[in-house]
Amino acid sequence: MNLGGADYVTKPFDKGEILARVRVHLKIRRLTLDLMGANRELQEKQARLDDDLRAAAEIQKSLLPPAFVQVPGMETAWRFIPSYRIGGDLFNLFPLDETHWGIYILDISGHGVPAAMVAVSAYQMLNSRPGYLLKKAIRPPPFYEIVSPSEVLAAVNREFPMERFDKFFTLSYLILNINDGRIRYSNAAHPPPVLLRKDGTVTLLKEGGTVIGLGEGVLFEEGEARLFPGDRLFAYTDGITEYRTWDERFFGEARFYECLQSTMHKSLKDQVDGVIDAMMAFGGHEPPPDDVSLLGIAFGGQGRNPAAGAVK
Amino acid sequence: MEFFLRRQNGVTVVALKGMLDASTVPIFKKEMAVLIRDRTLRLVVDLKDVGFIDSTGLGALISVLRQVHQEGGDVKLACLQERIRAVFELTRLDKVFDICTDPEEAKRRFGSK
Repeated sequence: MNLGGADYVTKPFDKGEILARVRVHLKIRRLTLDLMGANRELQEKQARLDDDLRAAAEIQKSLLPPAFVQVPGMETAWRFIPSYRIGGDLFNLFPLDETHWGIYILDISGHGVPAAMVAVSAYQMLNSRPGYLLKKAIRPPPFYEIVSPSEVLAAVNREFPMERFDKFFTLSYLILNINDGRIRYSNAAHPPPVLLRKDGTVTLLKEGGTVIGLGEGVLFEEGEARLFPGDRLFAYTDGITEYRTWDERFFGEARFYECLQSTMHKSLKDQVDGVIDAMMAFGGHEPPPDDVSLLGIAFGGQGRNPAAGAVK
Repeated sequence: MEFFLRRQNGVTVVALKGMLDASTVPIFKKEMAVLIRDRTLRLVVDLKDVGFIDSTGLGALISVLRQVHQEGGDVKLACLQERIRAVFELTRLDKVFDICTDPEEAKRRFGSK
């Protein structure tokens, strides 16, 4: 029995019994083959799904700003860690004209390919070409008008009613004047961007309204702030603050702000990396269950672009 | 996720127990869909035993609220833990939902309408 046989017969043989046993074994074999076939099919399907998820993660990454983006007078650095089940984080920064840069960060609710696809749709909408949402085309020169953050959020909110994709999202949109450091912004329920002053003081950019997706009649308040040379600005998603240990302790806002403060003397890139490393260490380097995004901007203050006109 | 239903004077209190996140939202949505189909439109969601809501959970609550509003009813929330209340304040959903201290207050507010 222990030599690898599945069944054995004792002498003397009974013809009927042997036939019955052989039939049983043939049936077992057929069932085993069926099961192995079904299993293989399942594994292939799973592999295809995994491939799709990987492809979606790559597409999502390709929408992030390219590494070579240079904002005049600014230093920028960012980290993005896609969650193992794909989330819907997205951020970007781009020139609106010679003096103004637009910055947005958003987080689509839910996970998987649908969340990533809604991020693609939002990306398409938030592009900086005149005639699109962020720059209205107008008749008199310079033929465009930069749309205010609260109007942008209201328009996005109209375009993405929850019923459309069964998703809502949080969004923060900021317009930064790269010459004088002035910021106009509004948050749609997004974790407030953090302004870290040169002296270590933390100010939160809190103005705004509720989530994108509730449709008509929602107002988004606008806030203003100003960066001075040496100040840094951080936009992030709650993948950082909701990262938690196996026993459900959250990384949390307080720890996040403290991390920013304790790393403020490092270069911006080292600071961004340092905060993400501290977060991962806190959670024992478990793969994050939600996308993690952190975007930092350091204001140098000598960013006057020779081609720039007067400050509007 | 556990559900406890309690009906009183035409108001249905749904007490939840557990986390309201991506793993429990499908069940939550299914349970609520049954209530809405049966035209249970005066709803109180008791969150006393819910310690965590993620964005999927918020989305589910919003979606239920919108469906119930369309049918002319309302969803009120009661007994939010401090952390959950902070999430509602941060996302300003405290202005979208009627948030009550307890189910009794929620029932009174339904009554006074």
